[in-house]
Amino acid sequence: MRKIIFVILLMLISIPVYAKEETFYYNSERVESMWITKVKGSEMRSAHPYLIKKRSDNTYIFCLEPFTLLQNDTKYVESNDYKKYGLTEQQINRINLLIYYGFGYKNHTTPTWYGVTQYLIWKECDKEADIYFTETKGGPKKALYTKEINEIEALIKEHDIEPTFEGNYQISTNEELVVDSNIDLSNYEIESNAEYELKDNKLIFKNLDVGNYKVNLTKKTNRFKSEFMMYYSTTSQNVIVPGHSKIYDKNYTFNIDVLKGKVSLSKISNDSHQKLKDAIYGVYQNDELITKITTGSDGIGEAELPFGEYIIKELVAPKGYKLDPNEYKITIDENNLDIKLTLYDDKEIIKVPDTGLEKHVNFGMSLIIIGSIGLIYGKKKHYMY
Amino acid sequence: MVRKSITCISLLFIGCGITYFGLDYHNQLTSLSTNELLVEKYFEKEKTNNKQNSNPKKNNYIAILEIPKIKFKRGLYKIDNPLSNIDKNIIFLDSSDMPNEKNSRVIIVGHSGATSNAYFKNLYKLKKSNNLLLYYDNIKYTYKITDIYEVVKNGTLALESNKDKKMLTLVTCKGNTKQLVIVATLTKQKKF
Repeated sequence: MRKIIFVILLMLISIPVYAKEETFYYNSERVESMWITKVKGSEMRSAHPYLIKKRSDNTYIFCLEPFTLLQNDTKYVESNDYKKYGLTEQQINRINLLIYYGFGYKNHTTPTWYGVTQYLIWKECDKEADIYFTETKGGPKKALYTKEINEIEALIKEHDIEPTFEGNYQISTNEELVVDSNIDLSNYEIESNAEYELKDNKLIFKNLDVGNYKVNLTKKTNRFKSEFMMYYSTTSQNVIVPGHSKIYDKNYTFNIDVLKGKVSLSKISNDSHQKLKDAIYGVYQNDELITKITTGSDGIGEAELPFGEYIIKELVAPKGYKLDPNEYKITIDENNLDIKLTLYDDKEIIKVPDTGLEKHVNFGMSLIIIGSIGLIYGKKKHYMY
Repeated sequence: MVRKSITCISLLFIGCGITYFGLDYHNQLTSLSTNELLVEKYFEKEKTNNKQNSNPKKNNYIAILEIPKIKFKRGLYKIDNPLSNIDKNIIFLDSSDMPNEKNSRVIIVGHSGATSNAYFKNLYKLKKSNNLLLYYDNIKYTYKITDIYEVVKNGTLALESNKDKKMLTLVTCKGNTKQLVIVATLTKQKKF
């Protein structure tokens, strides 16, 4: 057993551990019409930007060291430790944003876009140097490619905008919620368990049932399938291979609580204080009947209502009671979700005369019966004597 | 002698009994023909819309109750008319509304039994969804029966008050101890 463990340990030690290597190259592909000049101290360098690629899959990559020579097919070592490159995390984040919105983004496909992107990356990498466009080699500084630069910067600025919607909304079932944010919603994947409409860059929610809803917005930054990677070399310029960065991830969530209020009516007789059933009240809003409430054997009737102002009035009084002539105004909102009313009815006494005539019939019949009995008795007496 | 007296008295009793019923039958016939006449007069007056008769004579009907199911058609007097007497006719109860009032609750009472003025004796034959017609002030009100029930007779009546419906209630006795209550809801009204 000890021998087996020893052999395994030996094997593990023997297996060389290499950092992943890669090679890069450039050829004659360059942005002919573009000159970039770098001035730092007494040194001045001016050249066309060359398009650099990764050997393994010909992906376009970018240089992190302006005007440092790239040695074709020199072995590089991958490392995303930004300190190795003399850069800060903030600089790496900006470089990744320049890469995302620069060359290769939507219609940014020409070599000019590559050149502009590389130019902006260099400016970020070496802030102490003065890096600028010229029209000729070593020529004077010119404000060139401002359209492309402004477009990339605008996209980055838009990327950094945070939305202004709230974290939580409370509405009622009959309310419409319009969520307006200062972000471009077309750049976001929207997931929600609430039905919504996207119109004029606004999210519109309406006719939601009582419940809790979640809305999740995720920025569509899925240009790259794999993570970005930086490579360094002691004999060649450091480079960065475009890929996904967590700086691209933007995710926002807000909740919607859809609520309904409740009104409870307790109906009582004004004289006996008895609970009254079968009283029917109408609930009105803007003169329109919304619902009816009928009291049960406990004298109580209830209804759930969305937020709003309502008028409640009695439509049918229980048998033997007068209609309540009063109207009751209520307001249901987030601060008044449970409203209780105690309402009274006065007893109604309707006097009714006696409507039975049996006694009259009985009187007539009685006379005839008495007379008949008398006749029969008289006849009996005759036969007896 | 004694036997003769008993026989005479007995015959007197029987005679009174028969006379009692005879008079009652006579009253019934008189009442029927009077009613027919007054009903005819009422519809004539309404037809011609006789403005001169806007203050009707005290013995004219102001409304007619018709119940097709039991072939009943009888008039009613104004509440304060001395002829509005339950022993002589069917009547509007004192607390009754007139049918043209808003959310009206019309209450008509009448006797039931076996005598000539038991005008409501056949009300027990009515069923829910039967129609009751009330003619008043040139309008024919059609009510449909929605409820029929009995209550213990105690001299008072407990009725429903409905804000949105016009109701007609007929009340009469059932036996010696109960009251029959028939409630109907207005379904349509139109000029006639």
